[in-house]
Amino acid sequence: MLFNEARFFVFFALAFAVHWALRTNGSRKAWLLLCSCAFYGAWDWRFLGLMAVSILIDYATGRALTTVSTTGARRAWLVLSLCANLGILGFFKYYGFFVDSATELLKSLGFETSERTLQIVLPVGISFFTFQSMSYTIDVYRRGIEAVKSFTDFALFVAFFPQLVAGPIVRAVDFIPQLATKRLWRDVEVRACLVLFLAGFIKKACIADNIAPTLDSVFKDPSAFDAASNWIALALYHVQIYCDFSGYSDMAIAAAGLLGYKLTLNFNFPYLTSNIAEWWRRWHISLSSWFRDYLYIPLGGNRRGSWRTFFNLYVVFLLCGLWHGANWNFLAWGAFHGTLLAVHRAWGDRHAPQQAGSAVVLAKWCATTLAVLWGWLIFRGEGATKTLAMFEIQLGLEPGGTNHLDLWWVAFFASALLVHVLANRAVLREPIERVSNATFAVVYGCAWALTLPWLASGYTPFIYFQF
Amino acid sequence: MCGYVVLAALGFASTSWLVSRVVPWPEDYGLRAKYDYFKQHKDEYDVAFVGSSRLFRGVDPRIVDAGLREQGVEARSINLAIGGMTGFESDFFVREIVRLEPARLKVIVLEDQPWDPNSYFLGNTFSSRNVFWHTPAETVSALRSVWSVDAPLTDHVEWSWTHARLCAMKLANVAQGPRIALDLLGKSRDPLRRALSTEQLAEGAGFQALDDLISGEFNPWREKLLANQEGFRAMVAAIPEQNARPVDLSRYNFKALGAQHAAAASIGAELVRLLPPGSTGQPEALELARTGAYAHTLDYNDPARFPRFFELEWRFDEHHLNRAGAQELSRLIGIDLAPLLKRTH
Repeated sequence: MLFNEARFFVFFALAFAVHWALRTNGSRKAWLLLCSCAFYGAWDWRFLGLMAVSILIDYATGRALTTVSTTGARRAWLVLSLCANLGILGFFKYYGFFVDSATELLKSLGFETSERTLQIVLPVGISFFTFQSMSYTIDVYRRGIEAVKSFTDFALFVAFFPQLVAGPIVRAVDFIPQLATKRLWRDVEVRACLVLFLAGFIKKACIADNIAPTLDSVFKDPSAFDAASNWIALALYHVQIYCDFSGYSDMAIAAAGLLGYKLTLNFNFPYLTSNIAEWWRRWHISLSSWFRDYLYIPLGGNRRGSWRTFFNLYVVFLLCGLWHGANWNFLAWGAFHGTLLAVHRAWGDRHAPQQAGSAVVLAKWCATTLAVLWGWLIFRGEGATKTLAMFEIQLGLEPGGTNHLDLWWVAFFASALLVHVLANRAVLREPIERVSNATFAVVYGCAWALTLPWLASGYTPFIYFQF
Repeated sequence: MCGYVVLAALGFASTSWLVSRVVPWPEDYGLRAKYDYFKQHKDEYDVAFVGSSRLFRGVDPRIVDAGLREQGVEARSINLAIGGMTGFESDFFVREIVRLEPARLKVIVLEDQPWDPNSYFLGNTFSSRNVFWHTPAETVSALRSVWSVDAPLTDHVEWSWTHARLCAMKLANVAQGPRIALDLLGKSRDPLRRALSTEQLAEGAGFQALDDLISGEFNPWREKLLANQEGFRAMVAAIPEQNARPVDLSRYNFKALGAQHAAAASIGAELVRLLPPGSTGQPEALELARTGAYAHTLDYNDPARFPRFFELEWRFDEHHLNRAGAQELSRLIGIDLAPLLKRTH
């Protein structure tokens, strides 16, 4: 079930109405857990069992970590939990990739290999709920949080439907305390949530989905298009992936907010940043902070000298790339960003002027945007040959084809950027907060009526569902 | 809170209604072109033909008019049939014609089609064209048909949900923004590039023979018929037997039929059912004609009475007549319609 599907609106209306109609906190949590199972089961009910295994392992580990006292036993429980979680993730997400890669390698060395590999279905959201579940176990191990006593609370923490399949990756320390007390309707920021949901819906269904078919045709065959079209397609992908993923996150945060729960911010206007380190502090915040807290810092972070810092950055970003999918382009994308961050760290800070003028800021923004764009080329490109072809056509090293995209698509990119700037400055917040409830309700209804005509006619799944 | 929900719903409904005023008709196969043309010339016609490509490619109004003239009836007819039109879409189209209140229209000749709720244009369930006919009235009628079919409950629920979604998409103008924008910019065009120009409509009165199409897109159908002549003959031979089969009308959507007749009657027009030469029997239509549910029926799907319609010489493919076949069918229709038109005049 997707947030922009008609059936989600029916589902959410029911979940919302019953949730607030129930009187006790326990019954509300049980209801939300049931809704979450239905939400996930709507995709494929068989994988509910897989999620249940993940939940059971980490719930049991959490309980065990509170009862055992020796460091060795605690470590053993942690290792058991991590192995189980990473084992499940590795099997469902990476088994095929590694077997296929090994087969290719053996073939290139002249060995006879069997073509048969297991065709494994990738369970939706497995990377998200596994990381969320693992963060809980690690936090309990570090004594950062108390282990959860209630199984329902823990299961709801992992399976809470607004963030289940594409994040944000919520930390136990942020979410589980919210389960302890009954949510109150008066605490819900209704207007903010409703506006955020609509904004997310527009980003996903009206912007990202309308762009998708156009840029898909260029990425499929870049050499059939001229250089300008190859640039436009890449710029459009820049817009698409942001609108698709941040749109989903907005809807997730808003849906959770309407049920009385607060989720972590996942995007903070990343395309306005003028350096790559800052970009990573604003893009997919819940994942980048996860890697920072559970991998980069434990590896030593930047406290063990320059070379070790570079090494740590590479490890983290290679794994970050691999987290996105079992494919070489994601690994290459991770390595590319690891390199950018290493360069930024080695050179950028040292040479940054104390008070940069607007021209310098603009130049840095352009350089960062260009780097991110080429990162997306690696990320989105359909194989090394086509990615390289697109890159060469963009730089004029190859002539490209005669097909071209209309230039008005550039206006699409510019307007998306403008909205980004306006939203960052929160220019809409004040009028939204100032009007009466009745006016807000009417305007909100009108806004939906003006939004729906701009829905893309085709169906495009969320990009991050595959991760 | 309920009050605010109502206010939001009112805001939504009123804005959607305003937007719906500027949603253009779907352009597919010249649907919009024919509607717009008829809207401009609505008071010039006495007879309108509505149905699928079997009528679009099979009835030449100029020959119908000549046939009527031979019988002493001066009348003008127009072919408003469109490729891919289904039973419910035809019904919607009839209602839209009636809404225009054409002053002279006395007969609407409607291709006989079942009230099949699950036949969609080109099999694309959520196409603009399928969404377009899902007005609340048509949707209720389609839902009635959905529940009159013998099928498992899960199918009924799924089909009903599909029609409810299509109706919601119609009411909320889902995905119509680009079409509205293009239309306002004067750049609206047929996505399948099959629209008829005003000149073509004026000259051919909405008829276009398949033989005249230069795109060649229908040639595979022709080739299929030529390659499978024995099979086609066997299908034709089975028509009498199929027509003789007993029919159970107990679950027929009589409400939809009654509403259609009432709509036509509201402008003083009569509905005539046309069974064009096909390749399968239509026992349900014949039974409806026998029982009087169809007030007027023109049946040409009868190999015994009209053998030449079922020969390759007058056929383009299994389902459609060629130009020669269309000319003969149109002539016969003109003769057969004359008594009714004499009465209505």
